[in-house]
Formats: sequence, structure tokens, C-alpha cells
Amino acid sequence: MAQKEKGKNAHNGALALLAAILVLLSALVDPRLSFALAVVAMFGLSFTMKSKFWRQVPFTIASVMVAMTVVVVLNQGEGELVPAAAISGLVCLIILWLMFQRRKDGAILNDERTVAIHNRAMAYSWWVGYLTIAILFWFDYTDYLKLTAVQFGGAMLFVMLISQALIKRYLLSKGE
Amino acid sequence: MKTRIKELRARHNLTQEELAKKVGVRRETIVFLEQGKYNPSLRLAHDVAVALKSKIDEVFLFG
Repeated sequence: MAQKEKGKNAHNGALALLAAILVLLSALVDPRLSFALAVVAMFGLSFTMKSKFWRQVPFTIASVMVAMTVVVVLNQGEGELVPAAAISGLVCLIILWLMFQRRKDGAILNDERTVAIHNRAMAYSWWVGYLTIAILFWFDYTDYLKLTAVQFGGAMLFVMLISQALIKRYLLSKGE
Repeated sequence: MKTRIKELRARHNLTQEELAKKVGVRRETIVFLEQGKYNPSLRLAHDVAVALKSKIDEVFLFG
């Protein structure tokens, strides 16, 4: 039974890696195709992953997608999209490889405390995001700051990711 | 909450790393448990107590 589960995990892992490589390669052909593939792969694989490590792969693809979106936002839809997507993808794969090495060494990447902290940071980050939306809405409504949908989306991408990372870092150092 | 993890760990000649590996958590979690800065789940409390050959209420002291 365990052998069967192991085989299934390996199969899922191979599938996930193939998807990640396909997303990266398609970014070189057409970023829009890569984007569509990343969305399908992220949701498809998220629900089929069993092993803790391989669950990271859809998040890697999501990171590539987010990085590409940030580049689009910063360049107003023009310019350095393809190399940026390739570089961010490569960085994600390197991080994934390092995590794999740590796991092989027997290091425990996550336990109940880190999972609880991660979830709590996500919840706080949601509130930070909500507050940011409210502030930006009123700034726009009162003509204090005019934002396009792209600028608004870009701001939210940064705010939600960075706030989650900072809150998680703080909670991890605090103890609980 | 206070714990006797440090004392019991020393009695069984276990390092934080070894205890962490025995119960399947990160070493930092053991550090925070020893300092009483983390409330473990019942499962983790049980695993720590088993690893230290004690009962839960001998390891974790609620005052």
C-alpha cells in the first residue's frame, strides 16, 4: 500500500515537474499561453498532489505567474516579459531543488507550529489586503489618487505577498 | 504554561535536535515548547511525553 502511494507520489511529481517546465518553455513562445497553462496546472495539480513536497510545485508555477504579472504591471504591458518569466521560473526551480535537498537530508520543513503560523499569517494578510482595497477605493473615489485596474492589481499583488511574508517572519520569531 | 521538557530531555540524554526528530517537528518548535511560548496540539503533547517516557501532565504543567 505504502509502495503504491510512493509510486503515485512519484508519478504526480513527474507530472508536476513536466507542467512547470511546459509553463516555462511556453513563456518563451507566448506569455499568454504560459499564463493560461500556469492557471490550469496550478489548479489541476493542487487538487491531485498527495505528497507535501510536490504540493510546492503548483505554488512554484503560481510564483512564475505572479512574477510575470508584476513585470507586466511594471512595464505597462510591454518589454522584458519573456526573460523575466524565464529568470523567475529558474529561481523558483532552484528554490524547489534546494527544498528537495533539505528534505532528502531528513530536515523537517514544516510541522504543526509552522503550518499554524502560515495559516495565521494568511488570515492577517487577508485583512491587510482588505484594508488596502478600502484605502485605495476611497483615495480613488475622492480623486486624491487615480489608479488604473492594472496599477490597482499590481499594488495588491505586492501588498498581499509582502504582508504575508512579513507577518509570517514575525510570528515565527515570536514563538506562536 | 510551564514544561519540564528541558529537565526530562537532559535525564534521557537527548538533544533538542534528537527530540525534534523523534516527534517529527522542527528543532525551533522544541525550543519554543521548552520556553513555554507554544501551546502544542494534544497529538504533539502526547508524542513529546512518549518520547520522554513520561505522562503528558508530568511534562506540561498548567498552573
